[in-house]
Amino acid sequence: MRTVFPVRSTELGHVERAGSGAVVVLDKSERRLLGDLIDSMLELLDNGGRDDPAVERLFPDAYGSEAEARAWHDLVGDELQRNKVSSLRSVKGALKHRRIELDEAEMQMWLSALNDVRLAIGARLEVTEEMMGAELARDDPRAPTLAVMHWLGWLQESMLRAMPSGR
Amino acid sequence: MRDDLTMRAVIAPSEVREVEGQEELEHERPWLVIVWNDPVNLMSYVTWVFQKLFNYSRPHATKLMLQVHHEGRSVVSSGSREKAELDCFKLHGYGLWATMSKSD
Repeated sequence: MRTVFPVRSTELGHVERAGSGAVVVLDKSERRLLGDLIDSMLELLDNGGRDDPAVERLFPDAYGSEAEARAWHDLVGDELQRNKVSSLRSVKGALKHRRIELDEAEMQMWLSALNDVRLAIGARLEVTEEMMGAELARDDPRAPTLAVMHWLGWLQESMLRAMPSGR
Repeated sequence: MRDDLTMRAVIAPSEVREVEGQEELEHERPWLVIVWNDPVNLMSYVTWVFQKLFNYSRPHATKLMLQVHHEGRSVVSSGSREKAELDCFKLHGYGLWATMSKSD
């Protein structure tokens, strides 16, 4: 698992507290990036097969055996997929605006949608704990993608900090 | 989702075993829901999910999260098979890697 991660966005983006929700402020380039990532995710959810590590990670097995795994996916797969698509589309729709007000329910959707994007990228990149904590060489081909993962994590972390932390 | 699970429960093997009068103990043994560590999920996110889903206090949710982080896994809830499946479904919805198994 990741601890509070190190990269602070140098962009204008930030998250403000607002009651039980929050206000997410993202500049144009951040919104464009997030929009592109969501488009890729929606494409993945639409077309990805179980041999894709990203799909495998987004729809894990709940049971140990092969037969039970199949039964599990039959039971929950469609609804899980629908919920994930719905959350991603909701985030995409909100990106028209620089300043995005979110209530608690919307925060939950954003957090799980952002998480799904991170999981998909992480699975494709085959990240390890070490990689997540490392400073990659600038010419490492994975560096830009890892930077995106860290930015998404920063956004998640900021949103979590903006919310009341509970009892 | 609840409807699907109700349907599933009607034909669950444990129900059949109970009807047959065998292994009542089998039916009473709870199912455990286990969350596994992964390199991507933020600790703060995992803690928040536990609070949100199970209504655990922040200290308890943090304790479970740290168990996942340091020991590789933690039992986060237990109950009937149907409850465990519902919990797994919700945890998967949040992107946590959760599995379920019968307690020993």
